[in-house]
Amino acid sequence: MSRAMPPVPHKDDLDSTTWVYTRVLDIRSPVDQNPAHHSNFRAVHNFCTSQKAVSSGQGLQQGQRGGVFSPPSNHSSASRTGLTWRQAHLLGEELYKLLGEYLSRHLSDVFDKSQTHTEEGLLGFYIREWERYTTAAKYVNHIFKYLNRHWVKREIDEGKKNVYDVYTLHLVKWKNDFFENVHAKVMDAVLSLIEKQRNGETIEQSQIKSIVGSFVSLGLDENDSSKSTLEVYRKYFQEPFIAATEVYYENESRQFVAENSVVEYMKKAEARLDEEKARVGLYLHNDVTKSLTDTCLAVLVTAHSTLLRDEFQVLLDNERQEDLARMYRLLSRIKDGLDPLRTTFENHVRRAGLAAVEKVASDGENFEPKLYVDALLQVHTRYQNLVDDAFNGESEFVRSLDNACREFVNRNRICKTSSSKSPELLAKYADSLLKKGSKSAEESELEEMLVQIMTVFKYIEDKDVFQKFYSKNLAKRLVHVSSVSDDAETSMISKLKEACGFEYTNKLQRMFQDMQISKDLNNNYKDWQDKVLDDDDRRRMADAHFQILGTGFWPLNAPTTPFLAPPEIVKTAERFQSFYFDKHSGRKLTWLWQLCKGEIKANYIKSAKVPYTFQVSTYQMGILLLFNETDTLSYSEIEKATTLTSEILDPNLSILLKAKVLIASPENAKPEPSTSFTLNYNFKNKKVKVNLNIQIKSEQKVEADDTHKTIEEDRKLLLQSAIVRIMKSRKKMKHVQLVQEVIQQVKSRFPPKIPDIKKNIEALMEKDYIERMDGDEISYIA
Amino acid sequence: MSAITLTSSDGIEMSVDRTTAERSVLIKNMLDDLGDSGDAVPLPNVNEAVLKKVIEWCEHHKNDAPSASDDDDNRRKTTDIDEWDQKFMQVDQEMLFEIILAANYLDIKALLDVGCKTVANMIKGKSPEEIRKTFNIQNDFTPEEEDQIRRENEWAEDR
Amino acid sequence: MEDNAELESFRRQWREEVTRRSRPKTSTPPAPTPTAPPLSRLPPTRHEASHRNEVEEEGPPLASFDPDELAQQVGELSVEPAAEDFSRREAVEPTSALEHFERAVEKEAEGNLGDSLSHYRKAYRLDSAVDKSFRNKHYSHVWKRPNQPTPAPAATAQPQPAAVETVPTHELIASFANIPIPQAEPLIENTPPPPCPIAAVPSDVIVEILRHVALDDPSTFGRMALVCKRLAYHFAYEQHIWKRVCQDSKFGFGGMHYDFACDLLGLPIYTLGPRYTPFPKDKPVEIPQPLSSWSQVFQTLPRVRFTGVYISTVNYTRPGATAAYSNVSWNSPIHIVTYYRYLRFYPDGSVVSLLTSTEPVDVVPYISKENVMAARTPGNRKHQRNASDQGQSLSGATEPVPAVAMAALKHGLRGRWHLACLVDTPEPSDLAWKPESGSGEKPLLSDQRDILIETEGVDSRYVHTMHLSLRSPTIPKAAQASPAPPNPPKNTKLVWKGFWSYNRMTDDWGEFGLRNDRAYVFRRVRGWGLE
Repeated sequence: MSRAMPPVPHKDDLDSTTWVYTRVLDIRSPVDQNPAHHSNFRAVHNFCTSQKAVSSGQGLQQGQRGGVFSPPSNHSSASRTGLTWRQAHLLGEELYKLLGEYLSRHLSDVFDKSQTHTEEGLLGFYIREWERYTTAAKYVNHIFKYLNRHWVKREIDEGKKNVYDVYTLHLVKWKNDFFENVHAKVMDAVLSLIEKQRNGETIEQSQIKSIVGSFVSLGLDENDSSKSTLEVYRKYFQEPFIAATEVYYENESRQFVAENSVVEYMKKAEARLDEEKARVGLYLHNDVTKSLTDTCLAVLVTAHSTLLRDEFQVLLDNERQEDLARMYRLLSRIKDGLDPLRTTFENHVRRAGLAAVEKVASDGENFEPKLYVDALLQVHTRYQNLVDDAFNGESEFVRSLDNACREFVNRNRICKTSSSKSPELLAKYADSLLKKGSKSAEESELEEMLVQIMTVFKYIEDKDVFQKFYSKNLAKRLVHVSSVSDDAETSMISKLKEACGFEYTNKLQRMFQDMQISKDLNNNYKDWQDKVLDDDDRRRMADAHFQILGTGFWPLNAPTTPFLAPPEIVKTAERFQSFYFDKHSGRKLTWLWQLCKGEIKANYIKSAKVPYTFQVSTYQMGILLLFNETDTLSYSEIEKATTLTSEILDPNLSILLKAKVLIASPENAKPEPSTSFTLNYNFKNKKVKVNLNIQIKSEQKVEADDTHKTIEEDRKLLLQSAIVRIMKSRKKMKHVQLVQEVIQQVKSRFPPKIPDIKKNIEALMEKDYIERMDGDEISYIA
Repeated sequence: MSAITLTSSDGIEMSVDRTTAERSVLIKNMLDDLGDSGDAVPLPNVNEAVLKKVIEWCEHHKNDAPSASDDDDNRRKTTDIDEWDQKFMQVDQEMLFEIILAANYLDIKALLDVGCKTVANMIKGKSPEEIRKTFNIQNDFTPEEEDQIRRENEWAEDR
Repeated sequence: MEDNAELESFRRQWREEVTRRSRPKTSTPPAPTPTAPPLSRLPPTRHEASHRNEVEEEGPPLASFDPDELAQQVGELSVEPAAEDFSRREAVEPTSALEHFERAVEKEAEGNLGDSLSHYRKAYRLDSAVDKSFRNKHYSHVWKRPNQPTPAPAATAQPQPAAVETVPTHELIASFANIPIPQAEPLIENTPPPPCPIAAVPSDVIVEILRHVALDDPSTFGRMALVCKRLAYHFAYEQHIWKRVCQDSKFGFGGMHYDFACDLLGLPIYTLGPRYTPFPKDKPVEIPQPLSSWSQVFQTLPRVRFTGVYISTVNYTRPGATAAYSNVSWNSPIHIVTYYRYLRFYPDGSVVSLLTSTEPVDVVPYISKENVMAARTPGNRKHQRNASDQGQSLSGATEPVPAVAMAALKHGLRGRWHLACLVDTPEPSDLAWKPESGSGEKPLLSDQRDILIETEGVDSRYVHTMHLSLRSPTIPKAAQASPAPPNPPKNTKLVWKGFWSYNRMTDDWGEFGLRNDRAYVFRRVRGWGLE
């Protein structure tokens, strides 16, 4: 031991204990106390066990005792006499008390010194003293280990309050004797430092961090001193800090808003929020995060939320996506911040959609379906992107977008005439894409457009109307083999199936099946013909392809006109029929002449090296083949030979006249009973193949009207079957409930009108499916 | 493995393994607080003979797991003392109490426990007079006081 | 005879005995009376015993001469302060009147009324004033201080004035606070005193030692208090030691069971949830109201002892040869039959119950689960005293169990026990400390002092259910008023509340009559419960 030990005081020497404290606490750096450490511990130990001296015969004299505890300061004489009767373990209490008193004195000293410091100086002083004090406390705690082990432990064991281990005692004393007196001043200094930083000055952050650490350390659990709470920190640091923050940003934001645009303010607010978040990480306790954020949001966002919202429409009109995103971020962090925005957004999108449709409709009725659908899509896409990019794809905004789209897709100017205009146009657009000869070149492009169709389809309310038109068009594409590709057709159907379920596309799929079956059938027929027919037969046969279409699945009607087919065709048809009935006896075949077509060769035109081929409908074929017998026929002759009604005959003759296959006499006469028709031997055309099979305008119109009519009929059936289905399972039901249930069931197809439902309920009552009971109840009749 | 030097109250220096010495929480704290300066650690409350005994015990127990808590669960077998410790404690009463005092001073809980258990075993099953004889204690009660205390504490006899 | 209250009470007792035997008596060892089968596996009704007057139950079984007090006085006679070793050390037959009287008192304390009576008779026959000599011998200190030499007062002890006797005990003890442990004086004057190292030990360490002592056996701790003033102070004031003792499972409430912890044969029942214990070690615990200290908690709350045996001594009279006479006359012979019920509790929740006429001295040291099983096994006669109690065997060597004990132990029954819960029951109307009314709907264990014991029956079809309740010995009013009243251990008696047998096959409950049955009284047995 090179260094000289300081003299170990006599165990009963009070000065020793006093000395212990002073030595430890007055030392700046712990290393300096090296020589004192052990002797200090020993002094404590000996003091606590000094009962030994008593029993070993040295006696327990009043005088000596008094000497031992000669009170360091204003120690009352009462406690002094108390010492005489105290028992052995009260020595511990005495020591503990003296230590406490010493600490109080030290701290009152520290407090006096602190009076000379202000602001940052005070912070520095506080931190210096705190670090010294806690460092010393750690050593003192070790020195007083003996006291902790026995007296303190027992006191705590027996449930005494206000007795702590020596380290904790230091903290308690610091809190009560020093902290309580200076915390307000310290916090003032801290807050002014933080304000400086908020104003853009550079500050010494570590000071605040140290203060926070000290405040946190002082939080002691009253019931268990080994645990700590954040109570002190919350009360003395957090509360004033939050209050100061509130005031600061209240002033700043009020001023800023007055001098700057809303857009600028949002930038400022966002920056401030980020800054405060970073501040927590830099030198505050994590516990403050929530209340700090809440406070900042309240002052910076909630307080100005009306202002922000008022700007929303302006930003939408100007498509300021970045600012919209910022506004979304700010308002999404406060309670109910976004709700008003959603309403504004919905209205805005609806107006945009209606305006787009308006523009399309302004050019009159005859616009391309594509134009209309594109207009719808454009609006949707624009705002879908906005929702995704600026509003984080938030589901509530998606819902607002959907509401708006549904609104302008189903109720716009074009739909004014008929609510089913949108689905009809969409179906037509789909047909135009899927029909051969559409402009879309790439298959991938086509697929993309189909996806877009589905986007609009999602918003369509009258889905049954779309189904009707789509299946009609599909039937035609199939019958005329005019689909752009099977893959595209299948893809579209599977999309519809995904959107509306199996039932919705069931018939469409059956149509495809029929096509496949027909293909096989034709192959079989060919084989059969090879076996059965002789060469002669074959020569007289027209080369034919047949399609067998199930009546229930195809949206096709029997011909509206009688037709006497040319004998060549009749023969061919009859032969096939006999083949078919052989295979499927008992079935009925109806020839849909209006859908049939063929090619005939014009061998009579001498000027052509290669004979022209005319692509014609069966009706046209029936007309033209008459001219094999004679060059000129009167209207009535033709009418008689074909038995076609004039509604069909006239337009077809017109086509032939227009194409100059036939020549009318008198010249330029319309097809009417007084007109006669002569074969034009001088027919000329650039193409060898001439398509005469052109859809007739009036036919289209009729077709559309028919479709609408069948939709009404189908809806009636759908409603009735829904009613019966519900009543069958429920047996008894209130009228109102039934109506509700029906709406639930059919609304995926079309939005039913309540009077329609009621009408159908009445209808079913008349048919005795259901009956009315007492009290507005309806019951099912089995 | 570093060694440190301890100085007994009678000035004898002893070199001890640091891990052995650190069975004493006092010494451990001191070394932790001050760092090992290489200086001898003075133990002015323990004389050479006792310090030797204590070091012997620490040496034997230096690899013991630190006692988990001071709860009574290990105290349950309060009279259970392992064989080595029993032998170790076969010393005269003065030495026994010296060891206890040293353990208390040096903060070696396990040794203090063993010592106290040994004393407890000496008391077990004895009458008050036998206890007095065992420890050379004077009866300082008056007969009246003794009778009064006996009546007061009778309940503890657990009959 | 004026100041001879004890004798007077004896005589009164005698006369009562005589009056009682004039009533026709049929009661023999109890036989189950079948009652209506209940629906549940609980005894059907409250037992008639539970309707007994509490006061009667609390009162001394024989007379106003409190047997517990008497036992205590007898205990003072012997050098053994604590455990009885139940050995036949008084083989010598008494000869003088005083000796007979002493023996009679002893027998009476044990509850063996027949023997007691015959000794009283002999004593009075030899000396009609024998009670006077007895009182002079044993109770003189009560009214006059003996003239024996007082031990020299300790160095700091003040001379005690005569008035000190009236100092309330707690004040007396408080005054010991600062007194050091006194060293013995030199055997020979002017030589160094014998070494007393313990006197130099600081109180922190003394307390450590005392804690070990207390947890090992609180009664040793109690005796420590009689060693010197300083230790008496610690005994009263180191409440944290008492708190540990209360939490401990050896003597304290950590070892009490509030639900069955094992099956009838002693195999432990495992549960997933923690078992209830009133003072868990891992949570902060409070002293239950209205008690104010942990030593009171230890003293007052219901607690079953594992360190001894509970003995119920039953006497009943049976008419002698002339039973045919309808009216028994003074000189017709009667038999006083004495039999015993023994209960030994184990900390694991098991219990041994024994009904036998074998006297305590012959069987008590051998009562254990192991010996009961051994006694039941035919042909195996070489038994140890008891595996777990072995170390405490008096001779130190393993002794074979005497045949008489083995014969008695054959009838031992294994079982299990639990106390009523200390905490409040859900229905406040069923709280403890309430005199019991006739209502049979109440839960069986309505009093926190109640204890339920289930044992094997005579064969495997039966289960016996004993419903007992812990009670404390009564302190005579006169003694209570004194400045230092006696403070005997509490809850050392078990009074009957009901006794049933349950037939497992038929789901029938049978009720045992308890007309003759007396409360169990606890007797410590040397070495039991101390490992």
